[in-house]
Amino acid sequence: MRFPVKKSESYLLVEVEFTNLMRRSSSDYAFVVHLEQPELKQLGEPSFVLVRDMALSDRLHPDMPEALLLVWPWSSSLTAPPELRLSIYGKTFKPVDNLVGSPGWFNPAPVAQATLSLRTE
Amino acid sequence: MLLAVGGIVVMSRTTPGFVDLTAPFVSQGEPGEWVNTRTFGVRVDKPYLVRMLRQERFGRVEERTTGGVWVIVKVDAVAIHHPGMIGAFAIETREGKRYQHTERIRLPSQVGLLGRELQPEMPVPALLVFEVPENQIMDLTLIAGEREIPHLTSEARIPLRWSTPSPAIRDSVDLST
Repeated sequence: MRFPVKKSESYLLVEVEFTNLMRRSSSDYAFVVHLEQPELKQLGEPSFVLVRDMALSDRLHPDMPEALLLVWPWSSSLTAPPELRLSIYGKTFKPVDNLVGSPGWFNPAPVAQATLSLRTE
Repeated sequence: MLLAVGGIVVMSRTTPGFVDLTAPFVSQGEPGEWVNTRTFGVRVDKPYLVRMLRQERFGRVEERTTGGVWVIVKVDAVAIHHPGMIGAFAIETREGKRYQHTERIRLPSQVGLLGRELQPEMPVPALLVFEVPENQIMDLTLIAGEREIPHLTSEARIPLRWSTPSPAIRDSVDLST
């Protein structure tokens, strides 16, 4: 789903580089980055901006890395934590699924953790 | 009795999987000739390779770069029997990976083919735009299908042929012209 960036006084931005490792173009990357700190859960779902176009991103194509910005509107009532803790989720490929027997990517689960320092501008 | 059970086991083991059972109906062809499926026809005219696309929209010039190269395919398209749309376009590389038609560029309604209703017996020229990695540009195949979920739909597959073994990549093309 494409969330247009909601207007806000300030934003939390996380820059990532995504590479589609599948065999088809896909826009299924919204589940990948999770904010771990409980006080940040209220930020909700991020919008994804393709840095190349500075516009909302759509599908990413196989073997073509792209820099993306995850954008959360930041409310002034929140104090910025000293660092950002993220968990990275991945899905596993099943050549035959349980419903009709077609291939697909299922069962998102955390595969990595990352801690980033936060900078205020 | 045993024969019946054996027969059922053999039939169950040899039934094709879901993907094969619902595979699309494919029509193959070469560039320059009309490749007709049950519902539409496509003819590949000429493919181009470009590094950067330029487009004037709402008075501003937008530039679109890519991590690979842009592949622009000039085609003619027509509906067969009934008006309809060709719902999905992709380029398949030698490795079998598919690159869907780009969503980063909006082509004018008389130039693009996405979401454009075609009429029977009235072919129209159009442009298709894809981005692929630069090391994959040999052995590309255009796949045009009724819709993206390819269960029991019609599909046309046409290889893209370059005039030289290492085709030239233009620096930029202005799509507004």
